[in-house]
Amino acid sequence: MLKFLLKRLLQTLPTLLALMILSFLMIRILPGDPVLSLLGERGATPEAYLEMQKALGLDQSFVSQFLNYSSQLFRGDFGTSIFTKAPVVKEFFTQLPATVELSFLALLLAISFGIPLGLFSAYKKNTFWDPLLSGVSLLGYSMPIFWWALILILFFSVQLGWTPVSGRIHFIYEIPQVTGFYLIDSWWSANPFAAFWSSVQHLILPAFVLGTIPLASIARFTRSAMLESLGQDYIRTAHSKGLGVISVLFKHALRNASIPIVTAIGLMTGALLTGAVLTESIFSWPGLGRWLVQALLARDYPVIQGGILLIAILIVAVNIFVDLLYYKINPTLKSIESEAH
Amino acid sequence: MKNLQSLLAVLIFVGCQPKSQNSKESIFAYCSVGSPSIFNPQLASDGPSFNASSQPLYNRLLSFKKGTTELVPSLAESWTVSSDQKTYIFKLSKGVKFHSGFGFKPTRELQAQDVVFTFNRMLKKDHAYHSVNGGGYEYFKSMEMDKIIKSVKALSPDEVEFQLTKPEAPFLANLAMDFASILSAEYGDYLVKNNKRERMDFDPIGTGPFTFKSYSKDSLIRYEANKNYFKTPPKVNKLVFAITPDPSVRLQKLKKQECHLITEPHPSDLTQIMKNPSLKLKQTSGMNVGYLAFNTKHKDLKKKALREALSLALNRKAYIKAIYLGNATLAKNPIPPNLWSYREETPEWEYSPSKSKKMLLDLGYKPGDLKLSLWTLPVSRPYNPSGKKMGEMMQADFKKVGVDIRLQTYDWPTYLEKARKGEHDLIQLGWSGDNGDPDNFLGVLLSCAGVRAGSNSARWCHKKFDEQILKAKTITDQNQRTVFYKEAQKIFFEEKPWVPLVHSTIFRGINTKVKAYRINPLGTEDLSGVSLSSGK
Repeated sequence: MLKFLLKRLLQTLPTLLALMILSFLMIRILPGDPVLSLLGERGATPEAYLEMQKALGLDQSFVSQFLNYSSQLFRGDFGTSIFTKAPVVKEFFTQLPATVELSFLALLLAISFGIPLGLFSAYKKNTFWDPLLSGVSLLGYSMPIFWWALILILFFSVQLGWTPVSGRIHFIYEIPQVTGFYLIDSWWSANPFAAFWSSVQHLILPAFVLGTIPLASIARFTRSAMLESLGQDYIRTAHSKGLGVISVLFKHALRNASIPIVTAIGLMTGALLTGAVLTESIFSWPGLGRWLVQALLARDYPVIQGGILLIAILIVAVNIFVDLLYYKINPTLKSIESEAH
Repeated sequence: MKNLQSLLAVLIFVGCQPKSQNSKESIFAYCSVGSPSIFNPQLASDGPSFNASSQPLYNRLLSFKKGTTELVPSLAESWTVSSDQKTYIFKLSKGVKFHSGFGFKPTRELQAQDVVFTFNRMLKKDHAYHSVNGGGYEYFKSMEMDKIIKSVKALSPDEVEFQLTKPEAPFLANLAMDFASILSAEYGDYLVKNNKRERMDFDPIGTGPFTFKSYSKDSLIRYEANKNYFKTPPKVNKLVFAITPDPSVRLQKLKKQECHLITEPHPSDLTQIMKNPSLKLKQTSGMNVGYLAFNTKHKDLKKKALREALSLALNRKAYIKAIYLGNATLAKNPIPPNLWSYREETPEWEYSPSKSKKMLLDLGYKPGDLKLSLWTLPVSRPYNPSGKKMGEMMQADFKKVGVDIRLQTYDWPTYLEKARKGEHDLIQLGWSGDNGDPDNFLGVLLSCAGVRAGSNSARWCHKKFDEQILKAKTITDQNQRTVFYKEAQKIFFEEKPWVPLVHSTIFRGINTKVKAYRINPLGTEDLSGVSLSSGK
């Protein structure tokens, strides 16, 4: 187990190094100048422009900029944002809880509904339910997120008045910044229950929107994995042994189908953590995706470089966790390792 | 199951109608478009930062009278100008208190040393705070204040003197701009002692109508009314900025009373606001101009006659109808009509495709001979909400007179970078005024210095035009300056380095409960006087 973990950690080092170099180079290859982005239409005299460029360290060659950046990284310094003048690490950890809160709930929704839906669809193969559920999941999978979010806002927030339009909490609740997770921090506010409930309400729509595509994907993955599993000999054996449907489905079929499903969920988690740009923009959700896209549009080099690297570390951590889970679920991995011994 | 559903429905419904933690409190919620980059206007260069910092938290020596561009006293109660117009002495207002917070408690009121501290931070490289947090001072430098101000000196605790390197008429207007917000020198010393200098720009201490409470990045900014405000204290107890980048979502929040005021509603949403009985649409003529600039360094476009022929092809009225939905006025000068020195006598720009075609033929351009690129604005701005759509309409107009247009665009930083290098033929751009001075339009956008600075995208350097605006800059008498600026506008009309397109109307959506709100024609939000009436 420990050896497996160490091996995985070592394998990630070249990935992170490659990402560090690529993020540094790519942003500089792109046209667009951070100084001009700061100045906007206004412009500046060539002297003032050079002075600003120098202050940002952008007057140096690519190589010396890269060497400075690398030595900074080895000291644990991910740089400072050109626009907000705040350390990149601090900004990352400020945005992270909002993203984790939203992604976690979205994933929870996707798993709780996606797996049963896929399971049911596979079980009811060749009946009216299968094409219906497959159609619904295909619809969810191809839903344009921007449009979907606006429709849900118009219906649930404006027409029915059930959920708030956007934001993380109603402005009347002042909550202290303890963990950054509003579902937790709200308990420290003057009106804990109401503040907690307000933050739950604010989470519902964005989590549902963000969870739509993963829900549909998980349902489809589960269906195909289950179909494959249900066609195996051991299922026939289980049936012939006289085991009940529930036992065959959950104990035998789902357990064996879970490996591709867990892998897919692991990959989705990474995408959810960073790919929520549209959802975050519509619901004014202060997450990592929006932060990174804003930095990209403004050519905020340190945020892009540092942000990509920090997010990569996060995704690598999630993937290692999924691998460990995979290791736990799939006994063949353990036997391969012991055979190697 | 049924019980659980009912409980959930009740919880959702109850939770959707939050009650204020203290029912006597009035909280004003403003839906802003973006996140502030920093809370010190000296280091900011974007609207959201100015709205969140300079307006609620700070004051300047002078300010603009609410809803106008007229200069009025603020932290300076009066001022005198020397006969050579190079020395300005400001007498400071009495009883101005700085905010308390972040462990700092001021022991004195505003003094001249605070003004000296503020300007020397931007001016002097050896100042203890000059390099703190990057110290770019983009706005200060782009207004060339680093070249204009020679020194700032405290003559007495309530008198401060500015020595200029040259007479500069817009100087007073510049001092009313956001970047010239006055900081506390005592707070600066406090932070140095506590080894926390960099907090100066994130933990703001000013003299403004509101005090800073907290900022949840990209989400909410909270302020409290400054009860010791030296002018009339705010009528609301608290102010909240709910950062909402999407205009459609801002409108829905306004409808649901999650905001009392929204900025920049989408033109297509204006009717919805007007029709809603609990909402009101506020509007004012914007101090802006949207234009199409010709790159006058281009081998063909350097010909004045060709620029004139091309200008005749554009059906600007159609753009106003289709893109601004009628909410803009046709421009004929490079400055808006609500700015002093506007030249009424300038004739309207003619629209005549037949005349344009004939002129092009006379110049030797047969249909299809002239091929040009037209860059469409990649960002939505009040002066041009849809550059792409306008570009397509322009392309069709030019096609009618036999000119082939290739539409081109880039993301904003690239657009600016390439335009600065002069890679464009025709380019859509615009400008919203900063300080209500004509030099802020004519000098920035059309002077020879503007070519060097990259803000003159026509790359047009006209000796006689430049003389007019340089002369106007050196005298303080507004009537005399008007003469020069009108002459400059006459030259502009004759030379046609751009086609001025529109001056757009600025809109705000407000809840009918909101009282005493006035739109600032310069674009930033001043919420110091707003109040909320009770009742639904």
